Amino acid sequence: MENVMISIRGLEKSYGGNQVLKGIDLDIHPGQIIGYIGPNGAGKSTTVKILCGIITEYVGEINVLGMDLRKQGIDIKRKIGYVPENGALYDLLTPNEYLSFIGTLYGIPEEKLNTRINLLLSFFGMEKNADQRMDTFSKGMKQKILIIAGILNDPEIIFLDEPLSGLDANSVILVKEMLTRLAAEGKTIFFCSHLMDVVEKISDRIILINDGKVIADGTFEELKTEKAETLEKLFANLTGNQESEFKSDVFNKAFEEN
Amino acid sequence: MEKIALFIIKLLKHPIILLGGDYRQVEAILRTKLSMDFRRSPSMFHASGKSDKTFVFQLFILLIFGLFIALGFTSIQNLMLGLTIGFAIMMVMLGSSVITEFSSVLFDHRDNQILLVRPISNRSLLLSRLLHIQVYIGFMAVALGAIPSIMIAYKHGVIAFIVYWIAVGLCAWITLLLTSFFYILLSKVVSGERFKDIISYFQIFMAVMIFGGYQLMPRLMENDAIKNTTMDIHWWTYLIPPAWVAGFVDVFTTRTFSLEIIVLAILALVVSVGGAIFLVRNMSGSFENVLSEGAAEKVAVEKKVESREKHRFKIYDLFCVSETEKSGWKFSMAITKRDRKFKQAVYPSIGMIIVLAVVMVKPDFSSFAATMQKLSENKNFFFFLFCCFFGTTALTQLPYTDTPEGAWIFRALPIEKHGHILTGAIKAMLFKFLMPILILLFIATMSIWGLEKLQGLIIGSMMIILINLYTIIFMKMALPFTQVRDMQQKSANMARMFLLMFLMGITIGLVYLSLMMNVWISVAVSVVLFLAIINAFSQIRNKGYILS
Repeated sequence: MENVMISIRGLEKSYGGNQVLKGIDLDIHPGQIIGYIGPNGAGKSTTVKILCGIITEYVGEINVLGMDLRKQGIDIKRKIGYVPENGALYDLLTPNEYLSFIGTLYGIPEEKLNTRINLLLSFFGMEKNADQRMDTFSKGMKQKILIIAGILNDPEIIFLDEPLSGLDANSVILVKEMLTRLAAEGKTIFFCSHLMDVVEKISDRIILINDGKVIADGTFEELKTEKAETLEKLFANLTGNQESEFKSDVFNKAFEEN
Repeated sequence: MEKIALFIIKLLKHPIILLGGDYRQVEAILRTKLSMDFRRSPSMFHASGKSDKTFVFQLFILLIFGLFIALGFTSIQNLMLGLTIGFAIMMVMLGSSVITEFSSVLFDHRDNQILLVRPISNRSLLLSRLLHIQVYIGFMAVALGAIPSIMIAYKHGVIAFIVYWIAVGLCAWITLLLTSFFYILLSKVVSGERFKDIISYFQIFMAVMIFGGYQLMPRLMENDAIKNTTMDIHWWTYLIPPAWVAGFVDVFTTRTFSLEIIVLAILALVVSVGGAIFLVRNMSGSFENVLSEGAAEKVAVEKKVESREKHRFKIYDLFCVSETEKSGWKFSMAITKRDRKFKQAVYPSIGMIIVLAVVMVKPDFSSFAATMQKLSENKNFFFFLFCCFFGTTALTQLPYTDTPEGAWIFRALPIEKHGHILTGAIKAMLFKFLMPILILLFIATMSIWGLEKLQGLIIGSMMIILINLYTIIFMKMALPFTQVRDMQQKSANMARMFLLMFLMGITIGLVYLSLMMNVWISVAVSVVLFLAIINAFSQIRNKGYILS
C-alpha cells in the first residue's frame, strides 16, 4: 500500500534478557487516529519511545515518513511530535520559557514561534499562567504544556503516551476535539491510553498488544463481538481473565485480624 | 554569573559550528540549563528568585586554595617546575570535581524524554553538555588561578599574566576533555548498569587518591631538593598534561625557546583543539548510545517474596526507643544499602580513613617491627580519633535522595513524632558506619598502646557522637531522604564540616586531659557524656528536624 506514514517490520526489543517486544509488524496510514492499547508492561511505551528515537537499540526495520529511523533519525524528529507519559518537563521554567526553548530546538523562527506559543496557550486557557513557574502547576496544567510542546513544530505524526492523564473533563473534550481535527487535516495520531471508552470513541483503528505481540488490530466495529460489545470487555477477554477476576478470598484475607 | 557564561558561549559561536554543533540549539540548551541551575531552590517556600551564594562560597574556598598554589610558586625557583605542579594541582582538583559532581550532567538521562525526541544531533547534545560542565569548572579554574596569576604578573610581567590566564582556560578544557574521553571510552567497553557501577567505584577510588594527594603535596613542597632543582624533560614528560600547559606559559614568559618546551606548548594547543574535534566528531555517536541505554527502564524481574518470619530479636530493638524510631532505622538501612549516589558520597570517606591512618603512622616500609616500635613510643594515639571523623559522613548524606517526591509519606501518614524517624536513621548510620571504625580503632589502639588508653577512647568516641548530634541540633536536619541533591547541599555540608573539624580539635584536647585524670573521674565524665547523648537524641526527636 502506498502512503504509509509508519512501517514497522519485525520489531523486537529486550532489556537484559527480558524480551519486551516480540516481533511487531504494523503499517500506519495518514489521517488516522490509532489507539494503541494493552495491559501494563505490554510494551506500549517502549514502542513509542523507539519510534520517537529515545531508545535507539532495537531489532527490526522501522520507516517513518519514508525515512529509515536508524539513518535519518534527526530528519524524522523534525516532523514528529511526542507527548511523554510521565510529565517530563523542566518545571523550573515558565511555560513561555519552556515552549520557546523547545521551539528553538526545532529551529522555528522567533516571531512565528512566539505567535504560535501565544495562540496555543490561549487555546488551552493557559495564557494567564504563561509566566509562572511550572513547579507550582497541577498535573493537568503541566499536561497541557506537554501537549503544546508536542504539537509546537506542526508535526506530521503525533505520538501521545497517556495524553489525558490529569486533565479535567473540559480539557479532555478539548484534547479529543483537537486530535480529531488534526486527523482530519491529514495528520497521524498515535496514542497509548488505558481509558477504554475514550479509545473506543475516537480511534479509527485500535491496536491491542499483549506480551510484546499484536493480538488484535482493526476498527472497533471490526473487533467487537457478541460477547464483548465494549472495548473494556474485549480487552479483558483478550488479555487474560485471571488477572481481572476479583480474587475475593485473597483480598479479604489481607485485612483479617491475626 | 549566568550572563558571563552566556557571553562567553557567544564568543564560542564559530568553534561550536566548526565542531559540527548547531549553535542556536546549543545556546538554547545552555541558557535553559543555566537558568534552571540558579533557580533550583532548597525548598518550595523559596519559590521566587534564588541567589547563587553556595557556588560563590565554593569558589571562595578555591580562591584560598589558590593561595597555596601561589606559595608553591614562590618556594620553587624553577618556573617550569612550579607551573607544572601548580597546573597539576589545578587539573586534579577540577578533574575530581568533574568526576564526582558533574559526570551526572554528562550522562544525565532524566531529560531524555525532553531532548532526545527533538531534532538535536549527537554533536550538539554532547557539546551542550560539555560546555555546561565547562561553565562550572571554568569558574572554579578562575578562582583557583586568581592569586597565582597576580603572583605571576608581579614576578614576570603583564604578558606572563595574560598567557597564564589563557593557560588556565586550556587547563580546564583539557581536564574536561580527558575525563569525558575516558568516560565515553569506558561506556563503549561496558554497558548499562555495569557502566554505572564501574563509574561509581572509579569515583570512590579517585576521591581517595585525591585525598592522599592532598596529604602528600605539602610534604613534597617542603622538600628542599625540589625548591632549587630544575625540571628535566624526559620522554614521559610529554605524557603529563600539566606539563603541556606549563610549557605553554613558560615559552612566553622566559622566552628560552628550547625545543622541548616548545613541543610541550604545541601539545597543549593541539590537544585542546584536536581533542575537542575528535571527541565531538567521532565519539558523539557512542555518547548517544549511553544515553539511550540509560533510558531503558528496568523491567521488574519477578522474585518470590520470602514469607515473613516471626519477629525475632533484632539489633535495633537494643537501640531504638519506639516503633517509629525502629522504622526510621529499617528505612535508612534499606535505602543506604542500594542508593548508588549515597555510596558514592560516603564510601570515599572510608577510604580516606586508611589514607589518613597511613599518613599519620608514617610507616617505615622496610621494617614492620620498627614501625610498630616507633608507634608505641609515640604518645599521640588520640589523633587517630580523627579517623572517626570520616565515619560520620553518612550522617551528612542522610537527608538527600534522587526522589524527594517520596517524602509525602511523612506528611500523609499518621506519624505523631517525626523526630523519631530521624533519630532512628541517625542511630542506624552511626551503627552501620561509625561503629565498625570505632571497633577497629579500639582493637588497634589497645594492642599497640595497651589497655589503659581505653578510658580516653571511650570518652573520645562518645564526644564524637555528641558533637555530631549537636551539629544536627544546631543546624537542623531534614528527615531522611527527603531533599534533592544539588548545588545547595554541597555548601551546607562544607559548613558542617568546618564546624565539626573545629569541635574535633576540642575533643582531642579533652581526651588528652582525660588521660591525665583519675580513672574514676573518667568514669564520671563517661556517664555524663552518655547522659548528654541521650539528651541530645531526645532534643533531636523533639525539635532537631525540619519537616519540609
